[in-house]
Formats: sequence, C-alpha cells, structure tokens
Amino acid sequence: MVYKVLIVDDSKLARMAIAKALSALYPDWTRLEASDADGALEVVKRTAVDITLLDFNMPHRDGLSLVADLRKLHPTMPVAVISANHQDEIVSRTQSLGAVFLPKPLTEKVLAEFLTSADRQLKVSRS
Amino acid sequence: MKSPKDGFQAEVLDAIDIGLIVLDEKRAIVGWNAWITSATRIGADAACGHTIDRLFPESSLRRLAVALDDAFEAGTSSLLTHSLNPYLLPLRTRAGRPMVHDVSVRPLATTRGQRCIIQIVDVTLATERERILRARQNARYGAVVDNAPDAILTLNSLGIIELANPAAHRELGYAHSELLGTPLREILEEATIWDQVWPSILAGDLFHGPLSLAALRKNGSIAHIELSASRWLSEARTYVTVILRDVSDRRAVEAELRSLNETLEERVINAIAERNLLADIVETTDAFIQVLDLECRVLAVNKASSDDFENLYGVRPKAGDDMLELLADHPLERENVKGFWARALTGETFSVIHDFDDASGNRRHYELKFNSLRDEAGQLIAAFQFGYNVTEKVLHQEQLARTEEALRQSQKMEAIGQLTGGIAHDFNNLLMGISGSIELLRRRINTGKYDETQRFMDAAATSASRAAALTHRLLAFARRQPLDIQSIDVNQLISGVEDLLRRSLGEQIVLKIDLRPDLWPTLTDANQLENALLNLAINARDAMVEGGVLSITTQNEFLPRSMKYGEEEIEAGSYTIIRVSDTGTGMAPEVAAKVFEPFFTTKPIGQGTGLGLSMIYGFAKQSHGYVRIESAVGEGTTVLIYLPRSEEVPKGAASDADEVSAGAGQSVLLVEDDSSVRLLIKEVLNELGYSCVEACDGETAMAVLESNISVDLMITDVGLPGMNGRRLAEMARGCRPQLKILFVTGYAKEAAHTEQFLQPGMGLVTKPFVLDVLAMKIRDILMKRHPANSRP
Amino acid sequence: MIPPVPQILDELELDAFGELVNIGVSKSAASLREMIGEQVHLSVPTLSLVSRHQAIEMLNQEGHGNLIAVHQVFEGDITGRAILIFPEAKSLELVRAVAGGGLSLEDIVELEHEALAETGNIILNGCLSTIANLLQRSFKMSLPEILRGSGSDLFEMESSPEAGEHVLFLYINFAVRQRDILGYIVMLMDLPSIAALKVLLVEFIERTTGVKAPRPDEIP
Repeated sequence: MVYKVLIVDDSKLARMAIAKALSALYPDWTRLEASDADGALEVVKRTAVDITLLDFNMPHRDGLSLVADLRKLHPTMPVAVISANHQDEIVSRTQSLGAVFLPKPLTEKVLAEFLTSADRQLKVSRS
Repeated sequence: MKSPKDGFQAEVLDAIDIGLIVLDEKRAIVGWNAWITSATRIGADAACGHTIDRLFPESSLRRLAVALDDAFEAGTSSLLTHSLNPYLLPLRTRAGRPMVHDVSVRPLATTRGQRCIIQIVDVTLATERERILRARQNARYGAVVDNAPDAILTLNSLGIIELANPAAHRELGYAHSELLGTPLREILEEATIWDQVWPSILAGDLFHGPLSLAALRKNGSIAHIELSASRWLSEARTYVTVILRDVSDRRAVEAELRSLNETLEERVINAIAERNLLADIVETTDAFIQVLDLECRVLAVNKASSDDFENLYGVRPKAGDDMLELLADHPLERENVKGFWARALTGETFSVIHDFDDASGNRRHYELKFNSLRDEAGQLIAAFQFGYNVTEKVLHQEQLARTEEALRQSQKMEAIGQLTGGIAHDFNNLLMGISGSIELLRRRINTGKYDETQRFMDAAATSASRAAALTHRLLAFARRQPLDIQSIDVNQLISGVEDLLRRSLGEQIVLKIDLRPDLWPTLTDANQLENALLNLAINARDAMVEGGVLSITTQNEFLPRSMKYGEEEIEAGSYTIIRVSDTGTGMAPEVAAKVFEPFFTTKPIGQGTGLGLSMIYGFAKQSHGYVRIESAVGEGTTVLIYLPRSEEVPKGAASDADEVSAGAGQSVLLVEDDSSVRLLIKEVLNELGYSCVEACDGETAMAVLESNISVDLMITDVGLPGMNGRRLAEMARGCRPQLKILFVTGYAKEAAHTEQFLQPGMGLVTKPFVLDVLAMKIRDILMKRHPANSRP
Repeated sequence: MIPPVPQILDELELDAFGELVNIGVSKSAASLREMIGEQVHLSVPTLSLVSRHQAIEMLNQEGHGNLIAVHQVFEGDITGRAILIFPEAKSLELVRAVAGGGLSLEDIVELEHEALAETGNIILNGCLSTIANLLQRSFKMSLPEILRGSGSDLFEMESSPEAGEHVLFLYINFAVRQRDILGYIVMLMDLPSIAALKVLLVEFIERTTGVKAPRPDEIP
C-alpha cells in the first residue's frame, strides 16, 4: 500500500530529517510538507492525506490545536505528535485526542513502529 | 576520605567543611569524606561500592540522577539549591538538627576514567540568620508605616506599586489587592508631571519639595495630594517610597481664584490681539518689505529688510530717509533700484529677479515683487516691495546637476564594490570551513586524540578546492585564464552535472533533460561549460519564483551560411547547440539586449553581481562559439549556446581522483624558481614513480639538457627569472627536438602567449591546480595522447 | 554605523542550531516540570547570529531597564559563554512561578538569587547537553553565576575585545502557571569556535538529513 504522508514542522531541518527517515523505510510513499498549522490544513483540504506527523512546538498555534482541527476533518487519520517535550500533561493530552506521542530526536525504529500500526489502522478503517 | 590517595591529601579532604562524594560511571561511590560521614551517620566503608539511591531509599533523587546523567554524557555542571530541592538528602548537623544544604554536581576526567564529584555545603546558619534579620527589620518598618495617617506606597523600578499601607486604602478607597501590581500613574488624574519627574526620582536626584498632583479615588472623585518621594536600594534592586498627603481643601480654594483671574486677562487680550497680529507678521517675516512714497522716501521698512540693507550697504534705512541718497556710494545699485521703483511708482505691479554682487563679491539672486498703494480716493500714494533672497535656491540647482554626475560615477564604483564584496564573502565562507576544520584538528591533536582527524582534513580540503574553483572562475571572467579546450561529450557532461542542477533548483522546479543521442563531440572547456549551465540554472530558478520547468536539450546543427541574429553573426559550420529554457518571467527586448554586459543585472542589491551571463558570453566566444537569447515578457527565456563540433574523439568522463597510474621511472626535469612549489611538485612526481631532477632557473636547466642526463619530460614554470619558460622551451627543443614539455602558469599574459605557440608534445597546466590533474597531464603527455594545442 | 557581521552560518545551519536548542529547552522543560509539579512550556521562537554590538542594541531596545542573568562557561571543541537573561522586574515572577505561589514577597526576594541560579542552570544545561549529544562532542561547563546590569554591562565582561564577537541570540518564552515570561539566551563565541561550530553543524545536517554537505556553490 502506498500512502501519502504529511510532515509538519517549522524547522526545515527537522522536516528534512523526518523525510530521510521516512524514505529509508518506505521510499515509494508520497511525502508532503507544511511549515505551520494553517499550511498543514491547506494541504489536507486539497489532497487526500493518509498519515500526518507533526511537531508540537510551532509558532502561532501549537501542535495539539492542529491535531484537534485534523480530527474534525478526519476522525480516523493516524496522527503522531513529535516532540522533545515529553511532559505528562502534553503526552496525555496528545493521547486523549487519539494521537500518538513520539519523542524527538526521532529514530527510524520508533517511526517504523508507528507507521506499522498506522498501516494496520488504515487497513481496518477502510475495509 | 576513603580512596587510595597519599596520606596528606586524604587528611585535607577529611578536614574541610564541605561534603565530598565521588561516583564512577556506574554511579557507585568511590569517594566519601569525613564531613559527609558525619552528616549522614554512614561511614566510608559502608558507603563505598553502593549507589546513593541504595543508601537513601526514602529520598526522591530524580533531579540528582538527571544531573549525574548530564554530567557523564555531556560534561554539564549542575546546581541543586535548598530552595528548590529542600532536604534533598537526609543530612543532620552536629547538633542533630536537619541540615539545610546546597548540592553541586561536576564531571571529572581522571586517569582511572570518568568520574563525578558531588559537593555538599551546609547553609543552615546562613539562611536562618537572614530570616531573623529580615523579620526584625520588617517588624520595625511595619510599626511605623501601618499606623501612618498618610498613604505610603512602595514602588519598584518600573513605577509599579509593590507595597501599600492601610492609609492608602482609607484615603483613596482602593482595596489592597487592587493597588498591588498597578502602576502609580494609573491612579493619578493626569500623569504628565509624574512621568517627567520619575526618571530623576529613580536616579536618586535631590527631591525639591512636594509635588502637587491630583489623584483619582476609587469612586471617581479627585483627591488633591502633595507627593514626596525617595529612592532606596536593596541588594541592587531599586525601590521608591512615596508619601501622599491629602490637601484637597486648600487646593480647591486656590484653584477657583486662579480661574477667575485667567478669564479677566483673556478678555483684554483678545481685543488687542488682532491689531497686533498683522503688525507682528510684517515685522517678523523673512521677506524684505519696503514702502516708498512718490519721492522715493522711505515710509516703512521691516526688520529683515533693514538688516539686509545694512549688511549690504553698511547703512540702516529708517522711515523718512531718501532711498536714493542711501545708495549714493553704490552707483550701479542705485541705478537698478531707481529703475525698479520708477516702474512701481507709476502703478505697475510686477516681479523681477535681480542678480547683483554683494560687498564680498558673492553673487546674490533676489526675487522682487512690486505693488502699489492707493488712498481711499484711489490715488497712488506709495509703492511697496516684497523681496526674497533666492540665492540658495539657485545655487542649489547648480549643485544638483553636479551631484547627479557624481552619483553616476559612484554607482559604477558601488557595483565593483559589490562584486568584490560578494567574492570576499564567498572566500570568507570557504576560509571559515578551512580554519574551522583546522581548529578542530588542533584541539584533537592537542588532547592526543587522533581519531576522526581524517574527517576534518577532508572538510578542509573540500573547502580549499572550492576556493580554487572560485579563483578559476574569477580569472576566467577577467579573461586571463586560458581555456583548457578539449574534445568532450556534452551529453555526458550534462548527465554528470544533472544531480547538482536538481539540487540547485530545489523542489519547486521540474528539470527536463532531453539529450540528442548521436550528438557530435564538441570542442570546449568542460569546466566552464559546467559553470555556465549552473549559472543559467540559477538565473532560471530566480526567474521562476512560483516554480516552473527548466528544460535542457542538446542538438546538432550545421549552418551552410553564416546567420545573423540581431547584432551577432554566427559563422557557417557545424555546431553543437545546448539550449536552456525556463518558464519564468521572461525579459523585455531592451533588457535582453543588455543582458551580456558585465555588471548588468535585474536582481535586487545583494543578489548576484550580474557577472554570470557575461562570463558565459566570454567563454563561448573564446571557444569560438556563440551565445544568444530568446525571450519575451511572460513567456520565459531560452539561452542557446553554440559550440564548435570537434573532429576528434572525446575524452572519457571527468576522472575519479583515484585513477592515477604510476609512472615507470621516467625522469622529469623540473624547472621552478619558487622553492615551495618546486618541493610540492617534486613530492608528487616521486609519489607517482617518476624520478626528478630539479633546476631553479633556465640556465641550470639548459646545463642539464646539454648534458647526457636522460630527460623524458621537462616541467617548467613560464614566469622564470632571467630566461623565461618559453625561451627555455625554444632552446631546449634546439638540442632535444623530441623533448616533451609541460608549462605551468598562473598568469594572464603569459598564458595567452604560451597557448598560441604550443606545439605537438607540449602541454599547459594552470595554477592553482589539483595535483591529480597534474598527474594525469604528465601521463598523457608522456603517452603522446591528445597533444593539448588549440585550433587557431 | 555598526558593520554587519558576515553571515558565517547560513539559513539551514541556523535552522539546525535552532532545532538543537528547541530540543534542548524541551528537555529542560521536562526537568522543571518535575520540580515544580505543573506543566512548563519552554519554547525558542527565533534565533539569529549577530555581533556583540547588535546584541547589546537588541537588549536595550526592549526597554526593560536592568537585567539579571545566569552565566555559564563551556569549553571544548567549541568554547564560549551561555547566558540566560531576564528583565530584573520579571525575575521575581519567574522565581515565584518556580518556587510556588504561597510565599511572601520577602521569602521570594530571599530565594531569588539561588532559585534563579538553579533554574537558569537547568535551562542552560538542557540546551548545552543536547547540543553536545547531537553534535557528538562533550564540553566542560562551569557552575552558574548570577550577574546584574544593563545589556552593555553583561557583554563587556570580556577581558579582551577580540574574544567572543559572535553572538547567537535567541528569544526564549517561559510559560508556567498562567504566566508568560519572555527572556533571552545568548551564546557568545569567538571566531575559531563559531567556525568549528559551522563544521559540526554541517556534519550534523548531513547525518540527519542525508543531504551531502558540499551544497552547490551560488555562482556570484
């Protein structure tokens, strides 16, 4: 299955790093990028995004408010919030929105685990 | 202190008033001094070998654990104070009371491996003493302030209320909590005076008497207050205490009286005002105003005119003077003035610009307007003049013209400045790369760590070679660098640079490459062509801000007759054409016409110096080819590079650095006057397996050549002292006609001359050169392949 | 006219450094949260590389009056000073946020010095240790020291004017218990150190993004 993955982070470097990890695991999946919450929503409205990876710490609106908006449009989309800020409150808020929390710096192993479960989740919700 | 040290040190460590715990990487205790023994009631023997967690299972030591991790992994030092980590460890003072303590964690590299030192300091006494002192102070202060009848407020350095006494609430009506955190100026009716005075109060200047201000009570009523303020310092923090005394009653009466007086004055003033106003205007204006009667006698003259007149003629006119008498000593001016007034006094209304020289010989330009004055019956009784000195304006205009010219000059200089700035910037970056790597290398070597040095050396080498490439480009621009013209496969070259192009263009631009399969071999300089393509790609990228398509195609073209394109005429012949097209903004014809001029650029300042296209133009011409442009606004731009077809088979692809075959012991005569360059080349020759004979000038070289020493190749610098390289070559060929010769040059004129007369068996290599390139050239020459001479 | 500092670090390198610091302060935030017991939000919204003069100007511009700072030195492949700066008026608020709301003004003032030192130490260590780890280096760092004064005072403490002309200037936003406190982190380095930092950042970018370091030259 080939999926479209959206990567949202205000740091160009972080996007490149995640893109590298993603293309090492699944080179033929399509990658889309956005640098803030508004940009991400634009992309999601225009294209059928399957999976979203986003940074918690962004200007204007933080990652969790973006997750909330995404949920309104796509209640079952697999979403991961990536951040070095692993405080309890943030982790639990992430999980209560139905998203997964991944620590930064992101390793291929952790990303692989998330993508495998995302793949499973998508197959189930579309069957 | 339990640790294997010599006795004296251990005694000292056990005597100090600080707790010392030393941990190894496994967080096990390897050091434990007497102080900490006493504070924990745990001896060194019992402590060593265990972790701190193990010794104090009830304590919450998470912070400490994190600090230890950071210290071991990253070398950080941490401070854990008693305020934020109260009673971190269960320590007791000698008297048995709980000990208030500060902890610091420091990494330590020792000969036995990585360690961490934990230091513990007892601050029980200090904290207690401070607490008592403060309490005592507060008590005294509180007694006075709380009972005062006037409102007393303490402000911080931003003017915000931090403390307020009970009287403040009584007098002004605000609750205590409403006052705290509020700037004082917000409870004043009009804060202007307060704002003005605040800086000097804050600075501690002498406060001159109480300020009369109006404060706003909570219920909206005004309280007239007298405010006294004084500034005081506490631990480098600035505070201001203000006392507000309510004097509302007295002030109310004063205010009423004042307002009564003011209205009276006002009425009187208005009456006279208008009459005075016009008189004032006339008297104070800059314009020169004179009124003369029918006999040219002065009726009135304003200050400006009197001053000016006095300035010019040394005499001050006043009412009653005869104007023409006043000018008796200045006959020329007298005539002029007489003429003007004569006209005016006939009733004419006119303006004139009058030029004359003043006493110092400076030229002045006055604009004079004349008007007549009539009485009630309409009879002409006088004339008046308004005069303006417009000298400044006139001079200004002359200067403007001069300035414009200067500006044009400086713009040209600025462009040159930008160019050198841009290049200096690039060089700076490259030098950063080199110096940064060397710095890292130095530090590594200083600490005896030799691992990973290769990496930094590579980084430095990369930057150095990029700097060399930059120099190449510069020299090419200055048209001093002779091109290294070879027969090359353009398709292969484009494929080789495709990756680089894609990365330069970024994600928003699609790169389409369409290479004609049976493309003819081309005669040109591969390096310059690569640069040209990169340059064009970057220009295209800048023209396609929203993204677009860049197409590169190659094709063969045979021109049976010469063709004219605009100003250019392309000679008949066979050409390889490389076409670079973009879907960008395009150019208008006027712009397209100038696009190859050096320094011409449409880019904003700071982005590009406008050299790229002129360099491409230069390189194409030098290759005996052409460049032309097709472009229209909104329709993108196409650049076509025509390069001559080559009759020879092209060389293989740009060589890998590793492919340098060893020599078979041939002997090389190296002629070079710079000893460090000579040493360098000699090393390379030796490494490659050639044997080397050195000479530092032409004479010495000839001596060798005239002997029977075997020489397979002579490498010589062109710019030698005395007999230069060319001459040497001539003479060398004189006694050894088959001698292979390789010239080395970094220099303009030499190169051009040299290039012209290269014969079979001779070659040219330019400085700065990559050593592998040198090696290849040597090999090529010795193997009699591709004699590197250019077509005439 | 103050001459501009040549842009030694390009956009991507500054971006990379900003990422490192962001990860670093997130780590500090987690540490502080454990200590305080409530959620702490630390973010580094902007980062720029400026000269010492410009840094002083930027600090003066905001009109804070006196400043209070936590200062640490780091030595190693890169050598310099890291300084966390707050307006003096805000520092008590910071301490109140960190030490707990139930304390009187006197207690806060008494605690101020140490609480600030330790809090600053946690924040700076978070940054420096992350930078060290991700750039694969280790540093020797000093314990924190408290300084007070104006922008010029804080920056004029070098003995020689050449040392430390390059300043990485960051805004840091510290939000806890419904309070928002804006401060600054500056890292002061000399030329060899910033050049060394550049090399390390280039390697870091290569490692994490796979983009080979020698990017195509911008042809002038």
